[in-house]
Amino acid sequence: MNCLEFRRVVLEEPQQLPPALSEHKQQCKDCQRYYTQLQEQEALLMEALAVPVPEDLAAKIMLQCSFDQTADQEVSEAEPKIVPLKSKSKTFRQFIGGFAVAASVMMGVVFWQAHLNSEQQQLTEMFVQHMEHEAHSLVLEEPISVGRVGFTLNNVGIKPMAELANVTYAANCVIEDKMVAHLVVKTDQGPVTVLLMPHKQFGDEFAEEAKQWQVALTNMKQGSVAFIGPKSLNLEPIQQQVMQSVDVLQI
Amino acid sequence: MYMKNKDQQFQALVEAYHKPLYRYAYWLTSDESVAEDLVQETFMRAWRALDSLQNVEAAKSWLITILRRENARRFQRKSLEYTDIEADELPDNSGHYAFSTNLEALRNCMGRLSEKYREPIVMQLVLGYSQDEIAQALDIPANTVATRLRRARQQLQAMLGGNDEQGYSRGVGV
Repeated sequence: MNCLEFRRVVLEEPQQLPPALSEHKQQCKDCQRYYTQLQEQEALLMEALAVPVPEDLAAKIMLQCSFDQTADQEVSEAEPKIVPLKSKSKTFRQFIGGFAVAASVMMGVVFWQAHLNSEQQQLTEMFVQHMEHEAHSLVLEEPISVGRVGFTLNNVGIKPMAELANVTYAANCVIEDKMVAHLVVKTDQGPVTVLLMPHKQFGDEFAEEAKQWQVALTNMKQGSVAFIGPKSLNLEPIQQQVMQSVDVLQI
Repeated sequence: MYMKNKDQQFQALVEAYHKPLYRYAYWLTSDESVAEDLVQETFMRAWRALDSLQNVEAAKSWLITILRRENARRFQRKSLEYTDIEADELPDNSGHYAFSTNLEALRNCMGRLSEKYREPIVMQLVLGYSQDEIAQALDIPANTVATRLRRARQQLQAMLGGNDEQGYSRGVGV
């Protein structure tokens, strides 16, 4: 790789530096300087692109949609790929069906909860269940871009303070009606799932085990973070890395 | 992802995506009120069609698709009212935001980039899209996306060139 090629490629995605580029950067002082400047410029560009969003926009959207309950049918013709809401009778049948499913799930949950001894165990089970629900995230190998991680964190009001290494999965999920950032960090001993929940404070910090997993709950400035990994794994380094790398913005 | 009902699912989508969608719409239209209207219309359509969203993981690209389609419709509806205006003649709204000089300069330059260069870079930096995802959303080859991203940054560097204190002016020509 030569300098020209290096600069062509980094201009396409400065957030990521593939191994070949990284190798060239270490050998070439000019490209090192170029890359540092480009990173600074990129940070400035990201800041410039983040124009202020009207504070009441989310509320306006929710209000507008609450007024629109009866205007569902119009969409189908104009929006062929999008299926409109079902008719009222079908919605009612769906509701009854959904109610039956919900009722059976609720019975299962009640039965399951009767066997749990403490709130911490319940939370542990919930986090493990959530992780297993998105089990595909545990087998990913390739680190994702810093931009993707930043986007996921930003969606829940978390600012990345430093690069989180070896993140192979980042998505926004809902836990107990609150949006969370769901990351998976690859380690030598296995994947660690990190659920950053700035909108949810679960009380005291704890460490529990469930099945083959261990769960550690840590409190942030606002909200909590759950770390879920194999029992054999030492969660502490990842906990430290994550806690030093993120900051909760005002929520 | 655990969802209790349609309202909660929708609210979660709004919470997660209204900000990046607004910023994307803003850079697509260069107009705050049009961007706001576009985002509201996008979510309105999403609300009406929420039952068709089978895979929550695909929600973001689904919303982007709706927004882009809405934006295209806007142009179809008003195509006769539009005339070509040089970028230099466009009103400078930058003073509206309390940005520093560097940010203002960059924002002005972003507004002067042609849409084919501006949209991929906004998708990459505002929406967190990979080059493949941009290619899929814009329906263009991945290597075209790479070229446009590179040229967008080169053009920004060139526009801000001549003042070494400015962020994008120090790049070496590639």
